[in-house]
Amino acid sequence: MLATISAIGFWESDVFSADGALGPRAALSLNQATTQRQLPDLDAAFRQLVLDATHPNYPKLSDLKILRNDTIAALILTQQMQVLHQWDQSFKEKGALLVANSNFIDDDVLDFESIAQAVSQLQKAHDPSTENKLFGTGISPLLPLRTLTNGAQSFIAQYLDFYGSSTTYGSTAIASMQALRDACNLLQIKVCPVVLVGGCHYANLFSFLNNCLLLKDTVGYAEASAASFFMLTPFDGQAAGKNCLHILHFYKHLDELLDESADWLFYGGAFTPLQDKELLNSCQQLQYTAAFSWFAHTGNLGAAELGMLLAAAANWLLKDQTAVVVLQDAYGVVELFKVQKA
Amino acid sequence: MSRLRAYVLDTHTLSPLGLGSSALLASLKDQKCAAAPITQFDPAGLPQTNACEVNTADIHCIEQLTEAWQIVATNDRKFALWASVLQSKRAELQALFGSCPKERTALFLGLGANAFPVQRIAMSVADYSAFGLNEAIAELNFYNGKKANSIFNHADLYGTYFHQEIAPYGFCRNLMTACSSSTQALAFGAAQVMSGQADLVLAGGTDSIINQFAYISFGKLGVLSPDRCKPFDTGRNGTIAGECAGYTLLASEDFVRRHGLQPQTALIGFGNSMDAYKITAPDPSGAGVERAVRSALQMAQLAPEAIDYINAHGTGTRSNDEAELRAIERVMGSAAAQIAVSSTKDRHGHAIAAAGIQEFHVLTTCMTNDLIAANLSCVNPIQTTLELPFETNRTKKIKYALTNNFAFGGVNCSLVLENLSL
Repeated sequence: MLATISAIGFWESDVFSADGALGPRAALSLNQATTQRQLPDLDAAFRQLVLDATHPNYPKLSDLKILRNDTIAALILTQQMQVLHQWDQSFKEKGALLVANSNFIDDDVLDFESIAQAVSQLQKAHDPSTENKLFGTGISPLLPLRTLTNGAQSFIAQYLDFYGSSTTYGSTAIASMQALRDACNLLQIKVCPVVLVGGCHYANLFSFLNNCLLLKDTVGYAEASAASFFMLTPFDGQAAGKNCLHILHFYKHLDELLDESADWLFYGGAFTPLQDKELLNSCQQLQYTAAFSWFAHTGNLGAAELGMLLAAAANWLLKDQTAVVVLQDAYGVVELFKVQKA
Repeated sequence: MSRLRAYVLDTHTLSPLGLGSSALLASLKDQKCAAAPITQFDPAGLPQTNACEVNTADIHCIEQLTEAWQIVATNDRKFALWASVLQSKRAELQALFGSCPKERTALFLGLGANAFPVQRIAMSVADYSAFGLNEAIAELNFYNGKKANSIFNHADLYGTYFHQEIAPYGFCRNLMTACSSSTQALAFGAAQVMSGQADLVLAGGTDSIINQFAYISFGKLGVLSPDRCKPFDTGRNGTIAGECAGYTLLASEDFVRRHGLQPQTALIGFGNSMDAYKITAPDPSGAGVERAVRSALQMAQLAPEAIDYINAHGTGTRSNDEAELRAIERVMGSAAAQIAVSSTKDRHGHAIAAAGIQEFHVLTTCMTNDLIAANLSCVNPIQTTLELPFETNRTKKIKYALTNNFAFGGVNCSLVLENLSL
């Protein structure tokens, strides 16, 4: 037993899809889990989170100019979770905050034509008396902040008054698995009593175009902005009796599933319906009774996908049931672990 | 609880101070300063035209790369540096990773932000707008399927390259916390060894801000000096851009014993903290820095006076240096006068995400050669109770040392090292 997940919160946006339209994709067939229970139990309100400015935890106006939607969602989520789960001073001072992020580029950085033009104009200017002072006339002064890799992590720390250990993982879906593994390490060597792990993904043209470039076939590709967070404590922590998930162990290879059985399989990281099917097939050696992937509902959720899968697991598993959670990245790297409902 | 250790088997970097440990030691002893006019792009019209660049002669592997990797290397300097530093120790790395079960190995990489080839991205976005997605993709199909994405330097590329071209490994982490990225990669890599989850971890990173996009971004932030980088000087006015790629190999006690190795240094503590102050500025009180240093010492089970030398973050910016010194003074208390503090950023530049591995290598080189690197560019030092060696390097035995890196957004990371030969 490695750790216990005692709280989960998540949010997802509209889908950015290959047919150019924003909104849910009707063309893909839904997998069996849609007919299962929706998410009535665990922090379900978070999924309904609407990013309107009247929300009590909405970011300050002065911060909004450098915040993307997934970061706003992350800020509201973590503040709500803090109240709901009464995180105390030991989290703020000794805890860890590990954030996965799969796209660091905001919309106003997408105007590369203007940036390229501004750069070349600047270079041609050769007027030290004016241009030197402005250092890049024509380029938004917010540009560096809009590409800041640890933006979400730093804003969350600022809003939660969090002073502990913290880092950001940049990758695709697998970034959140990297964060989860480090969370377990920190708990095991006892440098932190509690870890908040989360993921943010911002779906925009840049992310979309880039992810498409990794695919052989873009038919059916879609992605959505999302944010998800979960709280880990040592296995012998204070989660007993609560609606929590225990992380039993990590697997090194898919082959190890040959002798394993679980009630559920929760899998994610696929980019197209074909990949979704292939990933499910590659898990066939596991003996399971039901499988679930968010893909058909939301498309690729990047670094937020693991939290979403865990939220699904927390809801759909019954007491004492087990599940294997499988995540794949854009390069075909697969990581997996087993969870049990307490 | 006994002290936890991650043994340092070897550290290797490609930096403006040369390739490998002996080149680095020679540069440190010669008090070499790598600042020179930028060659990678035309900096005309910008207020700062100097940077510390890696010598082109040290980047020799590009032509040996496959076509797809060559495209990445052409667009992304930090990848070119990464491939070069790995290729220069390819045989050693393969032998070492071959001697450990794959699932007991891991990579912890601190990586910089994207190096945008702005003209190329503008073209790709224009293609997308003009032709629609699938046509634009077909146009770029050359890169497609080879998994070498030309417009976005995906964080996974660096680990993927290692896996394909050097050796397979169990797990990888890509840490992206700006200037503390590779410092945190070393900290979390050590945690992976200390928790018993791995026997062999390659921790390090790569970054370069010597390209139009990053350089102008840093200029916009007002952190680049218009003349020269002068850490801890009262007249300091900014840092100097640098670049570096490198790694250290961390191993468990079990691995060291099994292979009969005799490592000279070990990582025995790390401390991470957040300022939670402002995303755009560090906490001027240095409280976050103080927490990071204190928790690193606590984990290493050391009293402040045990520290012989601190390789500071010392960027040479107005906001960093004084706050850092005051924070260290508070932690060290009455022992401050015996503790030498210096920054070497004026010599090798600020390698941002790779600053951690750059300065870790400087520190291990100093420790194993009884050397304290002076604050070369500091003429009028800030008033402090700490010892600020300047002008010339000193000789001193270093049993325990500390290195700091702090990042934009208020991320602080400190590491404590032990010299095992003393």
